[in-house]
Amino acid sequence: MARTMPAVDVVFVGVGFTAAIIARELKDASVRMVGLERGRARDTVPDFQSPAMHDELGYAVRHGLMQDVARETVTVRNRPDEVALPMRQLGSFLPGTDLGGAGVHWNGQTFRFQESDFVLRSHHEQRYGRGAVPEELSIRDWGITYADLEPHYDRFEYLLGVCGYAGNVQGNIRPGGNVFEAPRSRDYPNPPTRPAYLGAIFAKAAMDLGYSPFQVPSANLTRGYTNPEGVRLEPCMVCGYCERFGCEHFAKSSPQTTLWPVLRQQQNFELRTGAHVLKVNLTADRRRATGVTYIDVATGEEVEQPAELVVLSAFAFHNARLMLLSGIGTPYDPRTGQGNVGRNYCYQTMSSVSLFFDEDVNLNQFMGAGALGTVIDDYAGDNFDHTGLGFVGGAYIAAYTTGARPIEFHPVPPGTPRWGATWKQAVARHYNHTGGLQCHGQSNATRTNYVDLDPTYRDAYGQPLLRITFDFPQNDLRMSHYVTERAVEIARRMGARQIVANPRTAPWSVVPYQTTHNTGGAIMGTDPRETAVNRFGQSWDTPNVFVTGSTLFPQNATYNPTDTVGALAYWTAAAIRDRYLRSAGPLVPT
Amino acid sequence: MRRAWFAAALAALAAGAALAQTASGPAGGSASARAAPDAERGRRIVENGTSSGAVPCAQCHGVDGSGVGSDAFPRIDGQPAFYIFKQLNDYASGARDNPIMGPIAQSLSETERQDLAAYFGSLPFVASPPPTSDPQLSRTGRVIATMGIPERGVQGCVNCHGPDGAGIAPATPRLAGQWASYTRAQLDAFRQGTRNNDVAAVMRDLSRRMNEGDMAAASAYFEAQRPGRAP
Ligand SMILES: Cc1cc2nc3c(=O)[nH]c(=O)nc-3n(C[C@H](O)[C@H](O)[C@H](O)COP(=O)(O)OP(=O)(O)OC[C@H]3O[C@@H](n4cnc5c(N)ncnc54)[C@H](O)[C@@H]3O)c2cc1C
Ligand code: HEC
Ligand code: HEC
Repeated sequence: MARTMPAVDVVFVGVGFTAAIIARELKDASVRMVGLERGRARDTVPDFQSPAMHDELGYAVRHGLMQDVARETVTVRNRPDEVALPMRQLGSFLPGTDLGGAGVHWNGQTFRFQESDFVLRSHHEQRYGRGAVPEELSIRDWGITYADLEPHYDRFEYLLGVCGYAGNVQGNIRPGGNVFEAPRSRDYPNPPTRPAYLGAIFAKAAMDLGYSPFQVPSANLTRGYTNPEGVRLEPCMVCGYCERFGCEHFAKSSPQTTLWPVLRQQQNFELRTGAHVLKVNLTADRRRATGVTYIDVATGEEVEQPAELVVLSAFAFHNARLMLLSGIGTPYDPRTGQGNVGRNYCYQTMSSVSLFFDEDVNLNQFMGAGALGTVIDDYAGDNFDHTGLGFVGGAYIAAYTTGARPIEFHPVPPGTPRWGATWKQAVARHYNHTGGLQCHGQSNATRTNYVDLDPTYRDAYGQPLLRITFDFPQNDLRMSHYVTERAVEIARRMGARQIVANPRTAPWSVVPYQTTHNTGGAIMGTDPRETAVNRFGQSWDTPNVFVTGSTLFPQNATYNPTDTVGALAYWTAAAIRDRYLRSAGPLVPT
Repeated sequence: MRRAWFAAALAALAAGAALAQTASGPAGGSASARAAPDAERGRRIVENGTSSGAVPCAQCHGVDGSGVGSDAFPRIDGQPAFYIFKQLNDYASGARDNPIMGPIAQSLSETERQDLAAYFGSLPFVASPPPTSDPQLSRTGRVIATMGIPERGVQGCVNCHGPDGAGIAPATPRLAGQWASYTRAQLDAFRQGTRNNDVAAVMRDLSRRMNEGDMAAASAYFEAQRPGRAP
């Protein structure tokens, strides 16, 4: 028999960026909120302090800050006719756990999506004709526009203190910034990073070839900054321990460094850690959520938390899984094409080029930061004419200098023995003289890439695992090939002695690491049969459930997701505060 | 305009890379035309001064950098070469304003500053018995050093200055074993902005959020630490 807690108005399932943002936006609303986080509480002090934090083995290799797959994992396969197997070690993606979620160990590369990304299908049909979108793709419009989201991007970027040089302020194109970007209402709050050496030679080569390089918008701060919440961040020390690590310097924007100091004092918000949510409880007709049931991880006890409103803020595919486990909406079936939960699972189409330089080119990449990079957007999204190319979508090409840490960074040219004296000599020869270009590509939806509940495997609490069925669409492989070739041309211009292209190939595999940019599963849109939530992130079927995060993306754009995840959280928060709390019910009529 | 900015950044970086190399000793062939720094020439200046008027450093810092037994002069043994070089440049340019070191640094050529940095940068921290410090003060200092003062957003010092304050080459100085009175005076100087040569104003910002007691405790704590020289 589950223990029952006093009822609250709002319950959050998972406390990362999105929950923290919405809870903060409701600070003046007369609601009582509780945030349920499966992991533990943690903060810059004492949890992320150096030298303990600079433990590459513990955090980068052994994934000290990430989800424990012995407790809960996913099963994976490439096609619906295969049998999925559990992912027993983390690899391709690294979901977070504990307070702050993946927002603690992310890199901080903070890009907005393009105007066309939000109207992807209609944009392509308008520009290239009705047949232009390949048959295999089930890409869609979002049901919101860039203009809807712009003020919320702005809020999120000022919360984080993003550092960059704007390329388009209210339509004024400014060379030196991203000249392809959608108009922003004002400048970034902080000045851009200074290019690392690799970035500087990349910029020079790119300009020689007629491209427009700029510094990656960075949530690793270039100076001390007090955000609009009154929370203070410090400048980045370029220590090279960013992605997969917490920041000891208050210099990487995370829920802890941007919101937690004020949220923890907020009277109407309670954080409850060690609370692993099993499901959302529904009325018999499934039209209303009555709260959630969670396991108190410390005691193993089942606890019921009644609530008027449930916000699923548990990260991309976890949100979709919770909906499926709870019976919210209808599971998607790729054979019939019916169902609205589980659709359009997407990822990121990554490829790279390795540049082996002569020994007099010292890259010193150990001085790095997660978002320290120089990039061109000329081949992102639909920034270039796709006529006759045979694919839609694109990728940005970036030269990142994120740390070159000793255990994992030892590039050697192909053909080098994998161990022994020759390998060691090659590592010493190439360590400081090898850089990489990254092609960070769009991921388009197909009818056979989706998530559902696994029929066989269960987690530590006895619940079915989420099953991911995913492979790269032919369209995306063609795109990746094309952009990788452009990156090779830039690499040549940079004067590398040897260039090795690593284009994206199918099938998708759970190793090696690609990105933690998993998207879709409970996508937003205008059609209740084909989308799980309306344009505000509100469930069509159970209107007192809202969903946050990249779960909502109908497909993934060229860029890293979190700027859009944060903007959507502010957008949803405004809808809840200004509309839903005044008159509970569907915000979009069905 | 932006092209020029990238070009300037490129040039600065190329120079920076060369410096980092000289600072950390031989590190592969450098594209820079500058002659390699010579620690031996540096030692001669330390002992004899220069014809253009630089007083022998040894008078105040000792031949081995460990000082002359007076807390009027900072210890510079065990400091990273690049840090020494940067301080000499900053004294010379006035970015770090000091009536004693300013004229001395100005009378040194860039090559001489590099040679001196190479010399001091190659020296170990000279063993000396740690002072007996007030245990209460040391405890407070240890907390500040390792965990900072989170409620005021002060990072733990060791995050930048290395475990026990051993320093982290190239740019972050050793604090361990330094005279508490000197450390204290520098923290005050940062707080008042009279020392303002810290990149990104890290020390100025942080010291403004420390009070007298915090500064005294951190200074006393570091004076008593004896880690080896940072790699
Ligand atoms: C290594 C890495 C690098 C990245 N770099 C970038 C980057 O440079 N740029 C970018 O844009 N994005 C990046 N990301 C992605 C970014 O971290 C995420 O987009 C962002 O953190 C998502 O925020 P969220 O609030 O949706 O989810 P999360 O931050 O994952 O928070 C979800 C929380 O929910 C909790 N939770 C999950 N299930 C349950 C349950 N059943 N019960 C209770 N609690 C639960 C989790 O423990 C977690 O704390 C990166 C991610 C990783 C892992
Ligand atoms: C007359 C005494 C005197 C002489 C001679 C002298 N110094 Fe100094 N030095 C000082 C004092 C005093 C300070 C502290 C100044 C301050 O507070 O900024 C100092 C500071 C320094 C520092 C900065 C230390 C730190 O931790 O930041 C360096 C480096 C240095 N001296 C190098 C030299 C070199 C090299 C020479 C010889 C060319 C030299 N000094 C000669 C008195 C002297
Ligand atoms: C974010 C990194 C950072 C942190 C945290 C930090 N420092 Fe520093 N500190 C520096 C750097 C870099 C310098 C060198 C500045 C320069 O170039 O002159 C410095 C210089 C100093 C100096 C001058 C040393 C000398 O020899 O002149 C003192 C003293 C000092 N720090 C004390 C502290 C104390 C005490 C703390 C903790 C309360 C602390 N620092 C925390 C980065 C840091």
